[in-house]
Amino acid sequence: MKQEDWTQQLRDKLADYEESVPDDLWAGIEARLIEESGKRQSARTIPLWGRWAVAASLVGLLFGGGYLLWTNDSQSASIADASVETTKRKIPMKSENNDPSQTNKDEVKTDEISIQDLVSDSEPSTAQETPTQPESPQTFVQPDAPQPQAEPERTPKPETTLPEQRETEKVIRELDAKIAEAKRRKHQSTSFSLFASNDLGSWSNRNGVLMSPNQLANYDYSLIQASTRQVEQVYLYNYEERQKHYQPISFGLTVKIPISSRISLSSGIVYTRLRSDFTNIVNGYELEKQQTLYYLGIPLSAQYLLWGFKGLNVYATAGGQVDFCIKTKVVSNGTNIPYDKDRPQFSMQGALGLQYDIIPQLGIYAEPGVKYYFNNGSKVRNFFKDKPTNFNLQLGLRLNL
Amino acid sequence: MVETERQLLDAIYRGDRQALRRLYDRYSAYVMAISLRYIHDREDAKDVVQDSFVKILKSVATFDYRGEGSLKSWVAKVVMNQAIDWVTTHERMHLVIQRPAEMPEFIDEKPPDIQKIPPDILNGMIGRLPAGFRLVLNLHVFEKLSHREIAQRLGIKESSSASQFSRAKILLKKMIDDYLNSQGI
Repeated sequence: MKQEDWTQQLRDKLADYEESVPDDLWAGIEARLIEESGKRQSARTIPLWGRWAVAASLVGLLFGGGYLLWTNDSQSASIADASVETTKRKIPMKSENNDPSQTNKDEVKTDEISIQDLVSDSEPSTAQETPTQPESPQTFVQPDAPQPQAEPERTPKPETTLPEQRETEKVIRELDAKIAEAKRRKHQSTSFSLFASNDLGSWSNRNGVLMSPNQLANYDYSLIQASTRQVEQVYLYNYEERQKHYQPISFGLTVKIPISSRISLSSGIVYTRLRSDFTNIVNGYELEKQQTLYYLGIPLSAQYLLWGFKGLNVYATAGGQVDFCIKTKVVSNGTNIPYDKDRPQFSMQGALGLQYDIIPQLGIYAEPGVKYYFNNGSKVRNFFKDKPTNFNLQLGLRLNL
Repeated sequence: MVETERQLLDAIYRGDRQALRRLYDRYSAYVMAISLRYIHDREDAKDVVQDSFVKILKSVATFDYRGEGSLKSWVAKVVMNQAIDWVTTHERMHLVIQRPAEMPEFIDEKPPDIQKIPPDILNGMIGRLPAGFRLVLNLHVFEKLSHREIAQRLGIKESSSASQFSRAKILLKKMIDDYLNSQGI
């Protein structure tokens, strides 16, 4: 038949025809071999030491915090003495007959107090916060220092009989109230943070790979001759995969803006580096891949001050973060493989924060918390997908402005 | 000396790191041509080849060797299956009921002069046929499947396969003739 003839010619002409193949195709195949095999991993083993590391970190933090708490008093007293001069300069107005040094050593950090503040409002609502009680033997050296509002206000001192002394007392009380308030505000002043953080632990696993029925279904061998059908049976003999996800390491710069006396919002920019190693053994052919992902993230979180005493604050923080993958570096058996960037990674986090102000302007803080990474649906395998929920520890410096 | 398929497979079984790469080097251009016959877009065709080789390299260790050439035909079949799946999921495979605009009104019985057309042009022409035509023509001509087998594979009626094929030939012939005319051949 004529038509059969020309289709026969067509087949003959194109039977062994070859088309050029793009140069990067092999690299893509190699990368995919590694990537595809990872999808089949089923059981994920979290090493026991990882949990111990988390537990140990938390215990360490607890003790560390406790230590700071215990040692806080003497340290802050000495810091206060060092900055008495500042106080003298800042609150001279009504205190001619008050030696500022008698007010309280700690409040001298309240360099934010303005004259208007001192005059306008005298509500000592935060009295219990005012660290006016003598904290150490040194403060008792000045016994005639008027006791401010830490004591109930109307408890008169036996010796305060003279009107001017009363007046003095009143001024001091007002002063203390202001100081306490200002101190509160100091905690909530705008601050900048520079921090490093990491999720705790790195994870590794090693799996033999079995062929699943689902996987088989992906392979349409219906047209393959019967002789080759037994492909379905054995499949992943001599096949193994190992992967290791290193803990993410982040550095960030954030700014914290107070909303009220206790609540503040913070945001900024965070740089994260994520490293994973993959080793696949396919028929004894070892494919190694080192993947490093770089992210720039924008966090947004709210802080609530739970408790503050002198330079030490305990606060709760919760928020979210979006990380944009800015660079992907994949090295396979020594060669760079072009790789797509990961999609934006959303996460949310809750943490307990502990901050200690070394000097009024500068504090150190630690935020142990839990972070959850949402699955961004990309094919990129990384720590975030293998361990979506993670303990996280952030350590940083906070600059209080 | 050219490495035989048997030798290549033996090297793969021995865990020769380079043997998988040699398998790829040996057949990638051949299957790229097949892929382009099913999928006109070069990027998509490349993706199909890539997906296919991922499957091939993962399962080659269990490939049942049946003599020289069996490896090549197996590789080709994996690519073909992958390409068919791609077409059926990415293109609306409308079996052309109505006559496409470029379909000639009447049939010229004279066979097209295939030998005068460069193979890349011819290969590309097949890739540009409407999806239904393209699949049936590829399967019938190059895979030598009967219309019954094609019907089973594509989930269509046997009669549809036959009619798609005859229309595919008409359209392809017209494309070939048009090309030759445009080249003044």
